[in-house]
Amino acid sequence: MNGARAMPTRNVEAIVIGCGIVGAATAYELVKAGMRTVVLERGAPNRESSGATAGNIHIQAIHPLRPGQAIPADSSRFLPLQHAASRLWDTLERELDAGIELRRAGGFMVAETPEQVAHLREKWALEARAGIDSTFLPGSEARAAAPYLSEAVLAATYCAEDGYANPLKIVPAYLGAAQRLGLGLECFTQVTAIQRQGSTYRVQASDRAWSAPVVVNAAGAWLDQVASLAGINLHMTPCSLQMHATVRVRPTLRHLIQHIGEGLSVKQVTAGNILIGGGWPARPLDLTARTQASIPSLLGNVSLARRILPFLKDVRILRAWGGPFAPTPDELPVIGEVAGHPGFLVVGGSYAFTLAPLWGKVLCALARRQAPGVDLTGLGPDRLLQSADAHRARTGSSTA
Amino acid sequence: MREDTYDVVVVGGGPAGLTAALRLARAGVSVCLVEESPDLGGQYYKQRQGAVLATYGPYRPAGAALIGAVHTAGVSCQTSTFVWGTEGDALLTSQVIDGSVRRLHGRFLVLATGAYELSIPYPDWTLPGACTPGLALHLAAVDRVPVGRNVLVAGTGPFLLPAACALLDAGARVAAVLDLNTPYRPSGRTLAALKHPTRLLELGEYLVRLRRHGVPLLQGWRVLGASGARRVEAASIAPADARSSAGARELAVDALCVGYGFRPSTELARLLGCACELDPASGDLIPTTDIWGRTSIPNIFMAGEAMGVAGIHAARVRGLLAAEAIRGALQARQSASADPRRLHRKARRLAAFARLTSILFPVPDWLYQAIPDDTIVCRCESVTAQEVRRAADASRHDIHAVKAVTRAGMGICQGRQCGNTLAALAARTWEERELARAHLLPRVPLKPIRVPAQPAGISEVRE
Amino acid sequence: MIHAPTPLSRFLHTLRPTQARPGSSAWCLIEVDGSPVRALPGQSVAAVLIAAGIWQFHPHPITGRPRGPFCGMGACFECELEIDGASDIRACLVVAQPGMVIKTDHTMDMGLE
Repeated sequence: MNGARAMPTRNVEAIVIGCGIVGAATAYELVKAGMRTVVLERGAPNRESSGATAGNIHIQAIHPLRPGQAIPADSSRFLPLQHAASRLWDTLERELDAGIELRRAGGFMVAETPEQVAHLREKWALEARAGIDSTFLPGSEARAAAPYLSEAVLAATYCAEDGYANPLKIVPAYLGAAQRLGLGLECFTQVTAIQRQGSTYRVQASDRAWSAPVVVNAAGAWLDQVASLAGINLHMTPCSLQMHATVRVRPTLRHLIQHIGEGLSVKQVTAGNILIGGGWPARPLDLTARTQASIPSLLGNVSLARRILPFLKDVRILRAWGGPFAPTPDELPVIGEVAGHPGFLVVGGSYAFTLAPLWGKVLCALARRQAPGVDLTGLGPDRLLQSADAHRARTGSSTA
Repeated sequence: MREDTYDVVVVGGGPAGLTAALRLARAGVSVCLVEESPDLGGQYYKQRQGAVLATYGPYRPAGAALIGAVHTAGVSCQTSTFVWGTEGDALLTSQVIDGSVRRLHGRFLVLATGAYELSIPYPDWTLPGACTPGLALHLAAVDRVPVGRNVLVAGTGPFLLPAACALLDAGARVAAVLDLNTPYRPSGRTLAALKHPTRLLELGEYLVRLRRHGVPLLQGWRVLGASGARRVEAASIAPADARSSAGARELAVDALCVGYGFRPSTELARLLGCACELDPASGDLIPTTDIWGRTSIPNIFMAGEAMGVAGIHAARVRGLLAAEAIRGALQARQSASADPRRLHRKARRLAAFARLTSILFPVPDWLYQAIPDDTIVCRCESVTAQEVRRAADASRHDIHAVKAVTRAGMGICQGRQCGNTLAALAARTWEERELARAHLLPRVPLKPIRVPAQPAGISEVRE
Repeated sequence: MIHAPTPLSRFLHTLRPTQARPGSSAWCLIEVDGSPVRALPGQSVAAVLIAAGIWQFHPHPITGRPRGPFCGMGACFECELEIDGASDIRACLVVAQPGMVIKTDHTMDMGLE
C-alpha cells in the first residue's frame, strides 16, 4: 500500500475492534485496569446488533430454539454464565454512574401446549440444578401474579431475576465512563488491514494505524471478516433479527414475558413503549446496508404477542427494525485467544447482551494473562477455525 | 390475508390522486384509490359534510365535482385506509377503524401522498392554541370555526394569506400577518411574477381582503415566542433581522398559527426504493421523476405535491400526466381531450412559478440555528434543541445516532413534525446533508397500525 | 374536464362575504367530559371542541403539560381523544355525530406551575 511505511503508527496497549456492547464493556474494563486502549468502530457506536436488540437480561434458561434455528442451544452450558452476569448487571449503574433503565422485576416464560409444558418442566429442573431460583406455576397462578396473561397460557416459569435494560443507554454509559478514564474512540473508522509485527499487531484503517500487543475482535456480525484480515478464518453464521415497538402506553407490564416454544419477548420500557421481539428473522442480512424489517415476521410476532397478552389488541405498533445477529454454528458463545495468534482475542455469539458485562471482565483478564474467573471450556474460537479455502467458498470473500 | 388486485392503485385522495384516478377510470382501467381520511379530497379539496355543507354549500366546488365524477366513473375507493408497508409487489394497508390488514396490488402505482406543513420550533409552541396555518384554514373554511378570537398568522409562504382570509371569513380578528421574507414588495425578483397573471390576481384578492379588514401585513418580521399558562395568551414578535429582543413587541392573541410552507410526503416512495435527489432549496429528498412523473422504478409514478410543492394547478396537471403515461403503457382507451404536449407546457410553466415561490419565500438555515436551547424541537418525545445539538456534536452529526440517544424522532408522529429541524440541527453543513446522513430512513409501519389477530399464512415464516 | 371558476368571478365573490348562518334546528349536542357541547353535524370533533373554547385535549405523557390540535391533517397525533369508548382517536379526522361521547384525558396534572 502506498505510503504505508510513512504512515504514523500510534502505539497503545490494546485495540478493540467494534463498539457494540461487548466492545464497549471490554474497552471500559481495559482502561479501568490501566491499559492504554483505543476502540475502532466502522460506523457509529451501538449501531448494529447492540442497538437493535431487545435488551433482555436472560437469567432463567434460554429457550432452546428461536424460529429458523436448526441446532438447539445448550441451556445448561449457559446457566452458570448467566448467573455470573446477573450479579454484574446489578452493579452497573453505580459503577458507570449512568442510568441504563435497568429493570429486574422478574420474568415469565409461558407454555401454550402440553408438549411445551413438558419442556417447561425440564427447563425448570435444569435451573434448579444450576442454582437459579425459578418457580413453576400453573396457568391460573401465573395469571394471578400477572393478570395481563391470557387464558391461552397453560403454565409458566417465573424467575425473579429476569429483567431488561435499555440497549440505547448502555453503550453510551460504558463509553462515557471509559472516556473519562482516557479511552480513545475512533468512529467511522473501518479496519482495512491487520499485520503481525513481532509481538504486536498493526491495525490499519485506510490512512491511519495503531499498534498493540492485544487486539480484541468484538465486531459482531463482522467478526469473521475482521478475523480474516489477520489471516484467521472463522466459521460464523450471522443472520438478521427483528424488533417492534408500540406507541407509549400507561404503565401496564411489569415483567419480561417470554415463550418456551415460540420466539417471543415482550416488555414495557421506561418510556412506556412495549417492545416485542423474539428471534423472528428480518429480511436477509445485508452487511453493507441497513437490515430491513420482514412483514411476515412483523405480523407473526406481534399477533403472537397479542395472543399471550390480549391488552395489545388496542395498542398500535409504531416501529419495526432489523439488525444483525451473529450466532456461531453451534449456538454457543465464542470467547478466547486464537491458537497461534497470541494476544488476538475474539468474542461473540449468542446472548452477548446478557453476558456483556461478564465478557468485558473476562477479556480484560485474558488480555492481562490472568485467569478469567469462569469456566470457558468449549467456548474458545479454535473450534470455529476453518481453512482459507473453505472460508472463501462460504463467504465469497478473500483473506488478507 | 385478503389481497385485491387492480390495474392501477392510486395512493392519496387529494387533487392529484383524484385527477389521475378519474382519467384512468374513464379510459377503462381498473383503479383503486386509497385515502386515510374518511372522505376524499385530501387537504386542498377537503369537503364540508352534513349540516355544514347544507348551510354553507360546498367548499371549493371544483373538488366536490371531481369527487363525484370519481365515484361515477367506478373508481374503487378505500377510505379510512392507509398504506403502511410493502411486501413484494403489493402494498400493505390498514383499516383505521378495525385495524384489519390487507394486501393491495396494482400493476402501476401512483403515489399522490401530498405534503406536510413545515414547522420550525419557537419557545412555547407546544401551548394549546399554537398551531399551523393549515389547521386554521381547515377549521375556518371547512368547519366554519375560527381557531381564536384574535389570531396571529406568521411564518413565510403564499399559504399565509389564504389562511388569514379564511379566518376573517369565519369571523375571527386577525391581529397581523407576519412574513419572515419581503415577498410583496416590488423588486427584481417579484417582477418575474408578472409572467403569471392568474397567480397575481389570486394574490391580489387576498391582499385587498386583508387591507379592507385593517389587518397589518408585516414583511420581514417573525415570531420570537408564545406565552400563556394553559393556552396561548400572547405572542412576542420582532423584525427578522433583529439581533436581540430589543424592538420586540407583545401582541395579546389567543391563537398563533405559524407555518413555513410545505414539504413533500415521500416516505412511501422511499420505502419502495425510488431513487431520490436532494432539493437544494429545501434540503428535502425528492424522488427523481421524468416529465410524466415516472420514478426510477418503471411502474411507480408520483403526482401532486409529493413530487415537490407546486400548488393545486400543478397537482391536477401532474395527475393527468401520470394517468396519460400509464394509460399509454396499458394501451387503454385514448381520451378525446388528451394532449400531452399542452400538459407538458403547462407543467413547465407551473414549475417555473413554483421555483419563483421558493425564491420569494425561502426558509433560511439561520432560523433553525437561532432556536433557543431550551425550546422543545421534538414535540412527541419532548426533546430540546440543546439535547439534539449536544448529541449531534458527540456523534459527528449522524442523525440516526442523535435519534437513538435523544429519542427525537421516535415519537408517534414518526419524525414528520421534527424531521426538518433534526436535519438542520444535526447535519449543519450541506456536505453532510448530501451524504443523506441527515434524513431519517422510512420505517415500517409508515404510520402506527393496530395489532392484528393471528393473520393467515404466518406459518410460512418458519420455513 | 372539470373547469374551475374564472379568477375574475372568484375575485368578485370575495367582495361579498358569507351571509349564510345555520338554522337553530341544525345544531345538535355531543357530550364532552360529561357536559353538553353544541355541534353542527359535519364539523370535525376537533373543530367542535375548539369552537367551545376547549383546547386542552390531553396531557403530554412526559411533561404532563396540556396539548391540543396542531396540524389539522392527522400527522401530528396531538389531538387524540377518547370518542365513543374508543381511545386514541385523532379528533381532526372524525366527523361529529349527535350524541357522541367525548373524553379528553385529565388523568395527569394538566396545568403544572
